[in-house]
Amino acid sequence: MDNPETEQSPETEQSPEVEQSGGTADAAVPISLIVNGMRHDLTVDPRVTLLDALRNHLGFTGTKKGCDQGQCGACTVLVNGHRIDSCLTLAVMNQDVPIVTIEGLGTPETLHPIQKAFIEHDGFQCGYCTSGQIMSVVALLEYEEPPVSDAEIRERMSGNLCRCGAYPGIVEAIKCVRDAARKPVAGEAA
Amino acid sequence: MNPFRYVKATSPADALARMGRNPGARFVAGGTTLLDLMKLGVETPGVLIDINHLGLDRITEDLHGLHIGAHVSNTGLAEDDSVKKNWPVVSQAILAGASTQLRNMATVGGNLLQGNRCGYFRDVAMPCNRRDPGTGCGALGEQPGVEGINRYCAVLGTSPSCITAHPSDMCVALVAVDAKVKISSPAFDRLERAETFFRLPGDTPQIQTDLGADEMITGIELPKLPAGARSMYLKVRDRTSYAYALTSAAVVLTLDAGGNIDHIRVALGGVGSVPWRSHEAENVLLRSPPTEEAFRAAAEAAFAGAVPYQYNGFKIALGQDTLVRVLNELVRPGAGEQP
Amino acid sequence: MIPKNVIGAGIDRVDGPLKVTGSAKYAGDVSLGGMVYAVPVTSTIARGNIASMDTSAAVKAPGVRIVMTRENAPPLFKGGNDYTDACQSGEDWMPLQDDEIYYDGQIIGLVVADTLERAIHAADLVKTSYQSCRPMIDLTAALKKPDVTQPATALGQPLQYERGDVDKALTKSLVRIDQTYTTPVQHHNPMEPHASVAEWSADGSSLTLHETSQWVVNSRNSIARMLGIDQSKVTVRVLSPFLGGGFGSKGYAWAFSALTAAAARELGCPVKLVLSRRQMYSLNGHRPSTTQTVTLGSDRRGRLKATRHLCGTYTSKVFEYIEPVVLSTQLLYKCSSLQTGFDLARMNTGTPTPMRGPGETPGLFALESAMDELAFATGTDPIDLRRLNYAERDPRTNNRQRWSSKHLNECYDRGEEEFGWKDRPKKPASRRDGRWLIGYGMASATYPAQNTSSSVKVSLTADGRAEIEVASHDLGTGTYTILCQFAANELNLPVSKVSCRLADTFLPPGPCAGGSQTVASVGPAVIAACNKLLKFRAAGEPGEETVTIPGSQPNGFSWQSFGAQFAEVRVDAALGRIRVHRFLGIYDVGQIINEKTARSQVHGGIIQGIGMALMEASAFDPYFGRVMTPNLADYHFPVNADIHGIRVSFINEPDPHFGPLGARGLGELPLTGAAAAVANAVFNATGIRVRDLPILPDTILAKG
Repeated sequence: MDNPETEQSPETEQSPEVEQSGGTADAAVPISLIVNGMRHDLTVDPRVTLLDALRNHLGFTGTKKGCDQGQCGACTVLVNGHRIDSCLTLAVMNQDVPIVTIEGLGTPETLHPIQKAFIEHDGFQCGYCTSGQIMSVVALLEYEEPPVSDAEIRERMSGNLCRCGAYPGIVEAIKCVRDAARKPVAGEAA
Repeated sequence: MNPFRYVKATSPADALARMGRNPGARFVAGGTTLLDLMKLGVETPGVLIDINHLGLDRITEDLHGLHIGAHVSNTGLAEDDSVKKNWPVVSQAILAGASTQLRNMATVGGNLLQGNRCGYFRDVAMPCNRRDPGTGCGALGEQPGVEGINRYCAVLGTSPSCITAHPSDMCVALVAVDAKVKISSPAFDRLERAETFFRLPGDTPQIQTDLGADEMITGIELPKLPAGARSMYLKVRDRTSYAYALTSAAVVLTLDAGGNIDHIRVALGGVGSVPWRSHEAENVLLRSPPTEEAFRAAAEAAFAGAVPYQYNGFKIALGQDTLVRVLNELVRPGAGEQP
Repeated sequence: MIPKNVIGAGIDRVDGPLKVTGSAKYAGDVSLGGMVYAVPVTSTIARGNIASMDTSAAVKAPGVRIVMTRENAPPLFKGGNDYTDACQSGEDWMPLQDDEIYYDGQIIGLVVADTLERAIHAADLVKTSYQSCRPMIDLTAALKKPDVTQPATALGQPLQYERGDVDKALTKSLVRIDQTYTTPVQHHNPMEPHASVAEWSADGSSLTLHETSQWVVNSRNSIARMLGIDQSKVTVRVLSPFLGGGFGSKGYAWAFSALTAAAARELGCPVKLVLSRRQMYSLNGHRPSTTQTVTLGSDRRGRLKATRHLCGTYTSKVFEYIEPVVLSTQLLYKCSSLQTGFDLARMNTGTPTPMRGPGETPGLFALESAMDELAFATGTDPIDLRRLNYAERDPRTNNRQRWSSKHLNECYDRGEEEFGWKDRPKKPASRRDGRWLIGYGMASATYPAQNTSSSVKVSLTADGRAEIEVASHDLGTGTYTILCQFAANELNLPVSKVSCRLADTFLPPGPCAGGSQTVASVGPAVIAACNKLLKFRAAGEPGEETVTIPGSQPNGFSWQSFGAQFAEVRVDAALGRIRVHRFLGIYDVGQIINEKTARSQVHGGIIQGIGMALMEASAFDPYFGRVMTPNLADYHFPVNADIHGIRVSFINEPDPHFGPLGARGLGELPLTGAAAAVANAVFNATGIRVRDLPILPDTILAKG
């Protein structure tokens, strides 16, 4: 079974004739992305990451590029209800699945409760990591098993770096939203 | 990133056929390693074969154990109820790695092929025998006494051609639970033990695993652990989360009626060129009482053959203490692990 | 509703709704019609010469518009080295003008293509061969070379300084501490990569730059000079309304911005350039490493008789940046015999630049560690030691000149009480919880107060809405909010009726958002303009006023902020793991304007201090000089899980002798001394004195 040319060995460029397609290798391909409930048809170079498709092709610049290598979380979006780093996946790989970006949450006039809590608890300073932080919190509280302890919140938010050091406010905002969701609405039977 | 053609495979057979037609193509699943390395210019496939739609995303359990499709996400495996209950070391190891976002993307099969993290490997301007055979090992350095930045490198299993450490957490746990890797080729399917799946660098560091160019990983199997097995993964890193292991240890053990260890698996992370099974430590511990002395002797045996480099000598003592800590925790749980 | 006590209140950020919805537009978010993408080609060696560059493949690659190298680059000019006149470049040197390589990652070319993917790929296709030399990359070795200099001053303050007779005082000292401390190279790593989007008008008479800038006025002047633009003929406009953090790295102008504008001029279309994370480790400054020797002499109780603080650090081969490390030592404690010295080496690295608390941050790590060593040597409580050496007046003036306001003793007192300092382990390595050793540590913090001239325009509408306009900045510091608070307070308006436009050179000029000076500089101008508008407000009429307020003039007082910081750490000595369990900072910064944004900003300083203490360091290959940690997985700064138990307290006493606000600024202060507080706590927990940052697991193992 031994074959010396397995994974990770550097390869030179291939002659890809066998995979039928015309034009240059970076010829754009038609794709469709379902972003915030809307279907978008576009034509992209296969190299375009989901992040760059959102930012450069569809104008969803709320999703940020901090490192472009899955090390900061600024590009966090939801795909199929899972939070992912959109810089490390290709647009062409994410067709026909629901994608939610920060633009799909609330507007400045009609904020989502998590967005409100971030403002109230000052869970940001420069605001650059904020979209990614908030998308992570949406996943954490609405799609995943909600965290119980503060330590668990901190651990599960550690994929979103913040250089301004807004972590204390972020944790407070998360607790506030989580606890509000637990409490019965006033007037309702407990 | 080099231009490439993107194609979507529809079945394992289709994926393998496409790979056969395109030598040097790459399978892409989660993409967390491959796309990263493509951006760095380390990987330059002409064809990318998307294998996310092959139906290999299920976990099933039978009398023998757990069968996990290659494209189950790291999160999916770590959060699986049976894994949490019966193979907690696997769940712990996965959750100790990367971030939630990356674990949601990364697949079990992809993690077995996780690219190494050495800065010299990842920088095409620097020498690296693993990336470009014959260029030298930047981590080892260009001249005696001036070694490269090798604090994160391995102390076990290295060779003069490559001293990088294997970066995976999950694979360390897989070795400790005797997991098997399911591999398919156009000709036949086979099962390979996780322990032997990984290749020491030797003088061919470019070969990381036993996977042939015409093969793909379709899943892993977790055999049932012995009754009464205790298991644990512990990782030491430079910050509390979202960092690679300096050292880690995965241990599975059982105690017999007399209180002696009668099943033991020791696997170490962060210290080896591959996820490091320590038969030496196991030999010391098997049929021994679970005492601090035995643990210490096992840890020393585990690192007896270690070779330190300029900046990573600490990994020997730290690796030993990490293993001793796990062993102690398993027989006397909760002795002040959390601050 | 009439605002009550709007100054000081913890008002929500007015730009919050834009930021939490992703609607705030940062430079890299700007997209213009016909825009193309630029990617720098950078050197892969740290010293030598370019032998040849083969651009043929890149030029032929699909979508490529231009490949610029030394062969075809337009002439570019030095961007200025004049902070005072707002023409300060990060390095007064320009790429693509010669063949020499001075540092790893230096710009040697620029590729522009119609898509980002094509530009990145084409940049990879440029093949460069070099004649390379061994770079100078080791500070200890560099400090022995003949090109080391002893700069006389930094920021107008003497670096080579002596009062009294240190040698004589040392011989009379019963207790002596004489130790060397080192701090590593650190990178700012704002989450937002540096970016520039350049657009020329069709006739070339105007250039608009969307920049990542902490100082748009400076960016305009310096980039114009790099391009050889006469600003009386060509209008240059720089905008940076939202900035994703800077911490100093976006203060001075860098060459990539001028290259972007040059490419846009060449191509006749807008060009966007965003640095990659890797490029951010070479092209926009860093905090240089230091080696510092501190000698303290005292009496039996610890009263200082002599202090000597000698620092060796470096700059690049292309620009003299001086990290003003020893200045705070001259003033923090009363000591009649004191000497500081400063050696500046030259190394093959990118050029260092101010990073949050430049000088004070590495300097106080050394001084406050040495003070802790003195406390231990004398058996004096570390807080008492600092009280014993309290500088009631400015020691640089022979203890004559008064501080404009100083409440450092209150910081010590309050911290001692709130932190439960009296309960601290009196002996090192004497307290544990399970496997975790527990230790307490403290350190002082200090940073000078400064302000400078700012203009502001405030307009008022008849229906009682006000708008503030100034080319000042909000890096996440709260400027938008705070300026609105000032106007609301002066004009008796709700904050919601006030809006603010910032960071556009078409607005009245404001100062650099650096040196903790924004509020103290811009705030008074807002207040003055609002005061002039009161008559319109009373009459219910519209009006607008533009005012310029100069910076504070010397008034016989020394302006300085102070603080006291306390850390409790837990150390798992066998595994070298360190957790900061609690951190308390008490700060004397004068009047607090917004309690919420102030607290957040201080959190950030403390967290960066914890990062400096426990993990941050950039590594260079010792042979090739290449940055080996050029990403956020190898350069660690704290993640959420590293941080808990941080508490902040402000003295909040307005400074009666510094500016009309009595507010001294607080951006830098909390980072100074924070690393020392952690390191001192590690000593208390373990008995291990760490003098070389960061304190990694291996540090504890090696010394344990």
